[in-house]
Amino acid sequence: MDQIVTPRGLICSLALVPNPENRGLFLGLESLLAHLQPAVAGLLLDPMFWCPDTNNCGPTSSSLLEEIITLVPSGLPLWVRITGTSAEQTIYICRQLETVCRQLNYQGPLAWVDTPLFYHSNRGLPEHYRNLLSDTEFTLIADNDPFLIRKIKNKTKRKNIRTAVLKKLVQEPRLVGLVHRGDLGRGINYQRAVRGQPTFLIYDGGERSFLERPSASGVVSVGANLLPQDWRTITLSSLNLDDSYPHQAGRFRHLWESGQRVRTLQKYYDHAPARIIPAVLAAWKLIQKNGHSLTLEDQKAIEWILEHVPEP
Amino acid sequence: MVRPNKKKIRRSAAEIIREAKDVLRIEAEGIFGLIDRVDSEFAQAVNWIYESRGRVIVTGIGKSGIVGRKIVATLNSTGTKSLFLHPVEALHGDLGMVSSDDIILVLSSSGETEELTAILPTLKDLGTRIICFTGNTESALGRNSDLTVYAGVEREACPLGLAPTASTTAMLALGDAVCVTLLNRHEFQLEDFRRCHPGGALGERLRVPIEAIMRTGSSIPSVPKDTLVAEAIKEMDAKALGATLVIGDTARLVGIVTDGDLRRGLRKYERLLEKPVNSIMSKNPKTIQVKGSVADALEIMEEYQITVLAVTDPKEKLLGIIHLHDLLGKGYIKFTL
Repeated sequence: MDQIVTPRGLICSLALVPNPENRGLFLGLESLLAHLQPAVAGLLLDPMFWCPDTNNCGPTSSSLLEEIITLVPSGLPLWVRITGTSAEQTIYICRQLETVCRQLNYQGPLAWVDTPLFYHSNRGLPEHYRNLLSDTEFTLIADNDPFLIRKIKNKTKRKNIRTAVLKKLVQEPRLVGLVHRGDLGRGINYQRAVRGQPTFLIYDGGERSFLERPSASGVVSVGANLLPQDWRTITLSSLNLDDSYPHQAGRFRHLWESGQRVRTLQKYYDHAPARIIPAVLAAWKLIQKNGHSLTLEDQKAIEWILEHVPEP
Repeated sequence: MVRPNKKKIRRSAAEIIREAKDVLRIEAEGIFGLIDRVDSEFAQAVNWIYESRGRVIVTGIGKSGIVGRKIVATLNSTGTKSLFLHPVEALHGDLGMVSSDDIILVLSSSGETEELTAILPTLKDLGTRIICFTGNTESALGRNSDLTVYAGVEREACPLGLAPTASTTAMLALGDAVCVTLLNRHEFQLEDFRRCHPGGALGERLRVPIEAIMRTGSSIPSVPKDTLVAEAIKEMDAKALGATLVIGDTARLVGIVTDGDLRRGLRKYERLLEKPVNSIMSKNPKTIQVKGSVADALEIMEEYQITVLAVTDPKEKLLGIIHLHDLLGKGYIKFTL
């Protein structure tokens, strides 16, 4: 358990394609992992928040985790979403998945990822996390996603984890990181709050905010499913993880072009990544088609991507 | 696939200001973030440098190299002997400048810079102690240094990491922290700083106006034009400038008598002491206007090979006198060399 579960760098949120005929199973994981593995520092298994059809995907299932951990190369950090619709369900999901890991004697670096405000308020959150962590031997990463919370909660409710609450949360040593989606000001406040915990890392959950003002720890990206090497290039550069060739000819041009590719592509899939990215990957024969219906805008975006992005 | 758009897009002032503030906020936070990370490793690094009999050899490449050069300059100007070693040049012979008494300070954000890790084994063989400033303490550089000081930042201000921004600012600030703590340990004084900055002190001195340093009133050696030489010598002795000014009617300056004039008078007159001073004085002495600067005065003295200048107003009325020594050693602009 001494392996690094929160690496600095690129964390790819896997583009999962549910099998419509067999709920709980996903198509094409093996080839997708082979496509991503050389470029990523870690993987996020996030079916509930990523699937084109949330109702069909549901929270991370035992069967999906089982399938994933038999395919993920040993040593590659794996983050697994455990968020349920209530505190009780979240703890239950966590226990279920933990059981799978024990049964398979999984020894790789693994952390649970949770968006607490999806089912809980700021009040009482430290107690909830203490309960949750008392039931697991793995570490936990919190996810602050005000955009998601805004969609599902009353306008008067808080959309972000309060900074004062985060200060209390980080007292729990097995809460090892935070994925933050949102504005820079709040991100800086969070940084101040966790300053006393140098091993606690804050990742950017928003691709665009990372591209503009990269954080020190890394980014959780869905676009990395399409352009893993470009995402790797700019992530390493942004985090100063690779300055071993500062004078290499063409480095800046290479960086610039990678950045432009990533930015341009992001504009095309940003409105519906869960529909567009799997469709592109399926067209490249990396995964199987999922048969989900696409809008006209989706189809145009997919056509543009297929025309402009070279097939891996 | 995608080419940079060459069309220039004008952005609103508000947008530019917002973005600039974001950048400054990120850079400031980068330094704030280091405050809590300064620990015993940093203190040990300062002690090593302080106690070292050798020099601090700073090395780094790219932006870190530029920061390194600035740290070298600050170390030198605050009394710690330091020099910069380019890692590539080091591989091609410059390692010869390193001795076992030296302390090596290596700068690298990633800690994986190949050019730096390549020289580490040789530096270790030489027996030097290696301190590194890095944002990645688990890197090859971090693991192989004797002391690893964290110099990372929360985020960079530049998109895509095209240019290190907050990280280099933080590293620079950390370098200043080393220099200032060393300076305090050395009990480095203002005089020492001036000794290290003759250029700066000279520049400062040359700008001083003449009226700030000239001798005035009763300290001006002066005699009327019909005074006997014997009396003039008394005045020269009393004011100790090696000269006395000679004043004519209406208090105007008409001449100067210097030690040289006395020597020449002795050869010319047997009873020199009984002669009036205007018989041996140099007429039309060199003067400087009261609004002139020390630089102007030095220029005149150098051109005419003289050491004393009378200071007058635009109507040639005597206001004061300056000696070369006044220019070089008066008040707060005193030479400390």
